[in-house]
Order: sequence, then C-alpha cells, then structure tokens
Amino acid sequence: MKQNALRVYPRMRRQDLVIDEMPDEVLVYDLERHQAHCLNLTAALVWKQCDGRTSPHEIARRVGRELQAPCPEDAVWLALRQLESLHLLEQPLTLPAQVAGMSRRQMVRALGVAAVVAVPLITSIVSPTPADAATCATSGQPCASKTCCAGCTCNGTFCVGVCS
Amino acid sequence: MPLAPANRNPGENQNPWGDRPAYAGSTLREVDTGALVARVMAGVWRESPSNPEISEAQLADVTRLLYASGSAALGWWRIRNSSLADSASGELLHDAYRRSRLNALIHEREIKYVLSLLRAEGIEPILVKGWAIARHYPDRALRPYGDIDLCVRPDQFARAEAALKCLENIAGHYVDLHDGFTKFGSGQQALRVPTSVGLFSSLPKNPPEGGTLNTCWDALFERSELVSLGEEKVRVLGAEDHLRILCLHLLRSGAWRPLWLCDIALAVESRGPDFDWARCLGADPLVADWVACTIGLAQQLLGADVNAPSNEFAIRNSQFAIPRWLAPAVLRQWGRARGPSETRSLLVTLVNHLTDPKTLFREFRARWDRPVIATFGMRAPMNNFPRAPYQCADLLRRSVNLPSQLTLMMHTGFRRVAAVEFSPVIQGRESRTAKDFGPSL
Repeated sequence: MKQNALRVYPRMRRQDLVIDEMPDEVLVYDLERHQAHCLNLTAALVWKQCDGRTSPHEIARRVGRELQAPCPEDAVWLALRQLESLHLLEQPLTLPAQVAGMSRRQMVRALGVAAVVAVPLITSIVSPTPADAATCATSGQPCASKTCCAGCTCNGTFCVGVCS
Repeated sequence: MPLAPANRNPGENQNPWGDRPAYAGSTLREVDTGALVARVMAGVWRESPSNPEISEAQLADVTRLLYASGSAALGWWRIRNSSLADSASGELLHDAYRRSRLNALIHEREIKYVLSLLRAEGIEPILVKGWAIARHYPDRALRPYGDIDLCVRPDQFARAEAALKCLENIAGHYVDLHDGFTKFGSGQQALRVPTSVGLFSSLPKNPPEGGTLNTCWDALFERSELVSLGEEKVRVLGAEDHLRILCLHLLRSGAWRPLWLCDIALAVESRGPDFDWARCLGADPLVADWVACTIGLAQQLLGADVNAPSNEFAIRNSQFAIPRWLAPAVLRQWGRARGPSETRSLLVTLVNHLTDPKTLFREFRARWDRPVIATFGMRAPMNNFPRAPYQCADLLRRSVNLPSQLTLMMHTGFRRVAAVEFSPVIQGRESRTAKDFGPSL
C-alpha cells in the first residue's frame, strides 16, 4: 500500500485520558466519554508512536523493531482505525482507499495470514464495576447511588435525618 | 479538574448474571459458599499468594459473590498465575481488575484535588480507610474505593464543609466528611463522649468540658503521619489507631465484605516493629475485646499472620480467640454478599412479596441474621453467649424508623416505590431506588 502519499501523521490524544501502562497491555479511561479500553501490546505500541510526525509506514517499522518481528503496515492501519473510532487520536484519519473499503473483520482476516506480530486489538472494559467499598451514604449525601446509613432516609435525592 | 461521574462507563451497569441477585441460584448453603469465598481470599493481600485449590466450577460459584462484595480484583490477584485465569470466570475477574486499576488512578487524582481544596482553607484532614489502607496492597487495583473518608478537627468541620461545597454538583467519588472520629467509634450517634467511643478509649476518661472532641482529635493527629501520594502528601492515622478503626468499622458494618477483613489482615502483617499493641487495643476492655476478636477472625478465616514478627508481640495470643458464633455468622454474610444496609424498606418488602413466602422469609431472615451488628450496636461483649437477645434488642432499636419510613413512602407515592424492582448489590448504581427509601429494618 502507498499510504504515505496520503500524508497521514496520526497523533495520540492525551487530554482527559487516564492511562495505565501495564507490562503487556495499556488501560485507558476516557474522562470525557467515560469509557474504559484495554489496548493489547501491538495496539499500545502503535498508539504510543502516534506523535503527529510519524507516518504509518514508519510506525510499522518502529513497532516491528520493538516487537522484534516484522509488523505489516496493514496492522498499523487496523490499530489506527480502532484508535480513531474510540476517540483516542486527536484528529480523524483519512484512510487509504484499500483500507477504508475493508471491514474490520476483513482486515483481521487478511492480517491473520500474514502477520507475525499479534493482531492489534482494543477491547472495551464493560464488566460491572466492583461494588463500592463504601458502607452507606450519610446525611446530605446523594442516595441515588447507595443506601442511606441507619437513621437517615432518602428523600429521593439526598439522605436526610441523623445518620449513625 | 474534572472529576469522573459516578457512572463511568456506559457498560458498567451490565450485569453478567442478568437480574439475578448475587446469592440466587447457589446450591450450596450460605455458610459453605462463604467458606469458599474465604478460601479464595486467604492471603490475597500478599505479593504472591499461593494458587487457590478450587475447581473452575467452584470459582464460577463465587465469582458473582466476589463482584457483589467488591472483591473481584482481589479474586483475580489470587488466581492470576493459576490455570483458572483462563476460565470464563477468570476473564470476568481480570476485567474487574483492569477497571479497578483505572478507578484507583482516578481516585488518587480526586484525593489530591479534595486535599488541595481543604488545605487552601488551612484545614489539614486525616484520610481514613480507602487509600490509607490501599497503599499497603501490592497492587493499586486490589482495594476498590468507595468514598473519600476524611476526618477534620471538629471545630473546623463547618469550614471544611463550606470548602467542599463546590463538589456538590460534580459527580464522582463522594467525600465523606467527618467531624473528628466519632463515626468510627461505637457507631451510635448519641455516644459522642470519648469514654464510650472505642477509638478514644486510650485517652483521658474525663477530658476538659467543651474541649472533648478537639482534645481527642489532637491526640490522634499527633500520632498521625504524612505519606506520599505521588508528589502530594496525605495525612493518615498512626498504624495502631488505623487498625482499630478498621476493626470497628468492620464490626459496625456487619463484616459483610471480605475485603474489609483483608484490610485488617494486611494492616496486621504490614505493621512496623514498633507497633504498640496496647495502644491499638485501647484502655476500654470491651473495645479491646472487639478489636482482638476481629484480628482473630482475620487469622482464622483468611490465615492472617498475626504472630510475625513474633518477638514484639505485646499481648497474649489467647486474646485473639473468637466466639463460636462469629466465624459462621461472617461466612453466612459472605455467602450472601449482601450488606445489611442493602435490604430495602420492610414495608416495600411486605408489599412486593406478600404472595411469595420464600422471598419474604429470606428478607426477614436478612434483617434478623445480623449478630455482628447487633453485638456492636448493643455494645455487647464478644463471648459465647447466644446472640438472640442482642438481635432482638437491635431489631427493636431499628424499628423506631418504621413510622418515618411509612410517612416518607406515603409522601413519595407508595405504589411508585413498591413497583421498583429490587436489584441487590451487583452494579446497582442506577437501580437502587426502592431500597433507598429509608433505612433498612
């Protein structure tokens, strides 16, 4: 593919994101949209290389170097497409015609044959939040999210009365 | 700085178990299920806990309970190096762990922000529970957070409240502001004098008139310490005072979350060589007994290493002996994964389940089966005497709320309240409407 001709230089979004880098994945929480994502290693490496000055071709080369295995440019495009759809890039991408026309599944299938590195994958963390460790809501606190402490009653919005 | 709203993820209300209550569908008795939870949670606060010797089916049985009690990330920590990690339940626990890591990062930002607001007003709060104990865990994800529990000097409470007024319209973790430490004492609002409050029991029995609460605050403040949270400093209680608070809080709340006992096990195991057991237990024999029993419970149910390092042990081992009823009572709670405060109004229960005797029985039993809370609430000793009298007394004490519940329900619309389907602990942020109508009875 000759994506370089498109002069695409993706830049990772940094604002209003909480990023937690773990050894084999990166967790991202979007403070604006209140969504949590988990980037696998390949996707995370692609994302980190998005500095607004590096082309997908160069990103593929760098990621390949980091993973010590050749990384096809299509893998980078697949990652970029996911990153863009999850608002993890600063600006929308202009995808090359070959990529734009492919469904994500088609891309993954095409990559599956050729790729040596793991297919970049971003999953949304949608498991229920572990229940709050908080005991109960005291007087004046909102009671929409948890129970009022003994002695208090919920007036529909806040706990009222004398809580113990 | 934007604080994260309570509903941080559109998907967070998804319940992998549908609308079923956390305790539904289990073929095991509650106490057996609780024992299974205890097996998973044993030693889980350590850097490298051993792999649990449970089957995939058993893990599936307790996963929902771990979720419901906020212990899912701890569950993942326990199984992460075992073959169970690749199971379906393992995946669920892993996801909870990931979320918990992000939540912890957000929570730390919130703590810093709230502290900056108070310090700008010249108020130095003390953080209790939450991050104050979470910092000792080997991974920041392991201890989920609820509120930010901050204690301020009683005479600064009004100012602190005003300083935090700006948070009112910002969703996120709520700040639970306390005037001093009364709430963490006996749990009875009326008992505000130091001599009757556990936390203050090591202080003079007759503090000067008018200066009571402030005097107590000053003593605890003097023993508090500043610890680093990134580039920020956070004031936390001294290790002895904090362990006592953790124990009393667990009892006051009915010990229904296993992670609270993990907190205690961790606090005990991470204590320094100069840890003063006498100060921790305090001068009040009743409170000392409660604290010792709670530590004994952590030893018995979770394998907390109370004796290490052994040479600085200042009290007799026998003090950690626990009454016969305590461990089964706590295991029943764990097998139910339903907090005492999660029960909805008795009136709502009656209306909704008059024709469903099984549910009605379960609801009544949930209100009755609170020996830990009853013992604490009635300031009873932790001995082998039957708990029934204390439970009766506690039930009567709580029944004074009935008229106010009735009034409120009539005011708000009885049918509307009764129609709201009850959804217990698992991710019920948006669905906890019915049971919020008044304190549980």
